[in-house]
Amino acid sequence: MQIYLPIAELSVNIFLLLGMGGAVGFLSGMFGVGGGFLMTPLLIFTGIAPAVAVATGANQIVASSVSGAMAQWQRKCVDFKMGSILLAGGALGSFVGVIISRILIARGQVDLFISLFYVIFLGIVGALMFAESIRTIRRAHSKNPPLRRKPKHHNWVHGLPLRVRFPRSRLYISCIPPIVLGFLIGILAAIMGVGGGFILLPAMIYLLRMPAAIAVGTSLFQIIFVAAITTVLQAATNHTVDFVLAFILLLGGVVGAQFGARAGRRLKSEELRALLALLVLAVCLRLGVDLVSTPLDLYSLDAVIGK
Amino acid sequence: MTQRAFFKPLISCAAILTAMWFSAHRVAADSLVADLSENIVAITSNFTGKNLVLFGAIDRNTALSTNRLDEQASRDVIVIISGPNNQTPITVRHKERVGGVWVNTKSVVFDGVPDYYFVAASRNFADIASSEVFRRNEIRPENLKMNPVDAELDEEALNAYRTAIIRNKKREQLFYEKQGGVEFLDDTLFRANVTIPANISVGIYSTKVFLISDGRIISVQSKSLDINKTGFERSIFEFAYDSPLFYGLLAVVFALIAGWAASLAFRQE
Repeated sequence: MQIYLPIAELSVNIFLLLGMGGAVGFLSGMFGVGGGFLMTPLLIFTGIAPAVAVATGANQIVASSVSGAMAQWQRKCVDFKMGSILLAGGALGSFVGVIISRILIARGQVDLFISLFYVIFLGIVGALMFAESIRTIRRAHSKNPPLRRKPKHHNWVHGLPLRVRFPRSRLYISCIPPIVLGFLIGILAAIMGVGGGFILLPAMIYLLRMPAAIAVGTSLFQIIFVAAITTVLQAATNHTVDFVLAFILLLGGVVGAQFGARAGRRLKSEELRALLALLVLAVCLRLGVDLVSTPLDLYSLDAVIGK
Repeated sequence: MTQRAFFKPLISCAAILTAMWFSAHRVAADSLVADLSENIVAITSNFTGKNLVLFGAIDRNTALSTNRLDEQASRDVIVIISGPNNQTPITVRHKERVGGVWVNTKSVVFDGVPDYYFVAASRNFADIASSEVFRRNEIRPENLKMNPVDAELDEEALNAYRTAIIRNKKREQLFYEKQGGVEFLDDTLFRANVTIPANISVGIYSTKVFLISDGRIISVQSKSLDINKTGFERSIFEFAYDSPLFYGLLAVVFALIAGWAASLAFRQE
């Protein structure tokens, strides 16, 4: 059954869209990421213009991350204090990101930069996370007593001034790293049209040393706001949010996210991280291949911005 | 819907009857009559593109008496539909390999590129008229007057861009070129199937029908075709463009409610 999308201005099979929303929602609920890094490429693949895909993806992420964050909140896995500090940086970052993105669009380099950013960040994050989770799984399976991380083991992050207590995360660290992290995520979110969970989550676990479960919930909480800001900005400036498309995607997405969150509970944290790492690496590889393989046509047509 | 279904054959019949009336009365000024099966295409939620039929009749006798052509003279019809009328310039970007990665290195802004262009002819274009005739009347995509807004390239480079525009548009199913796409049902009546793709932009399109005899255009008829969204699709589209900020906020509020509702529905006891 085909449905016509009024803003994207084309018709797509409704069940395909529902399935895509459900699948991405499932992963989103399971791993605590918004799923934008999967949804945006999928939408573009079905023939929807990248600008519409990015903006509408953000709208759908709002719904799936609310659904996911509520589930995490009920399990008391959201650190609101940490989330708010990340958000403060994020709001500033998305403002800077919008300016950068406008320059890139005008020069026709936005697709290239999005792909490059994805490949670099997904590659680094995926590889680090995969290596770490495999090490943990191996250790758990071996008969040797696990090498527990010493509670006093601190990295450079913990030596910074302006320390704040985060009771939920059981942390007492400087508030500078979360603000800077939020700022960088905000920039990326505005350019790439994603919540930034796939970068934020590992950074929270490995850099800030937050407990993994709390990091998932807090990341989802933060993504709600970043995606909401992106949606409003995109709708107001570029008219690229397709409400009909977003509605179908979120129908699938919210349901998928709930099943994903349940499935996630059955898996061990390190197994979850290994799976997410593999997924991230797969997307990275796909985009990397696209960057270097000869395009279908060396010329492309683009609407003139500002008309 | 029922109203439209009722009127469609009625309008068709009326147009054909008009065409016959003209041919019977040998009106010298009108040697060609043509119309589309529908002059308004409504884009609804189940719109997947549309096939229209353009039909018409030529008046052989008129052509004979006014132009003194013999019975064996060739008569050809070329149909063009293009638009929408409120055309905006487009940017054409050219990719080159930079350090192994494909990068948009050059770009040219072009004016006069229709979003949609359909041309069909009753025979091979080359057999109908000279390329000069086609060029003057913007018949066939390569004769469209697509010009750079600020030209700094030589003609050869510009032509590479122009052929790229046509190639891309054909791939996106927005440009059509159909030799033999106009078929004669008898000596005077002809028809052409027009493809309106699902990804067409809304707006007013213009239809032109050329009657060509022995390489000369002897009659042209113009009509307009209105392609528009209706109902819910139209409301959304207008809302998104008329009050974008409110639209964005509403989209977010809706997403928040949907997410919240889902988490309530799936809440574990």
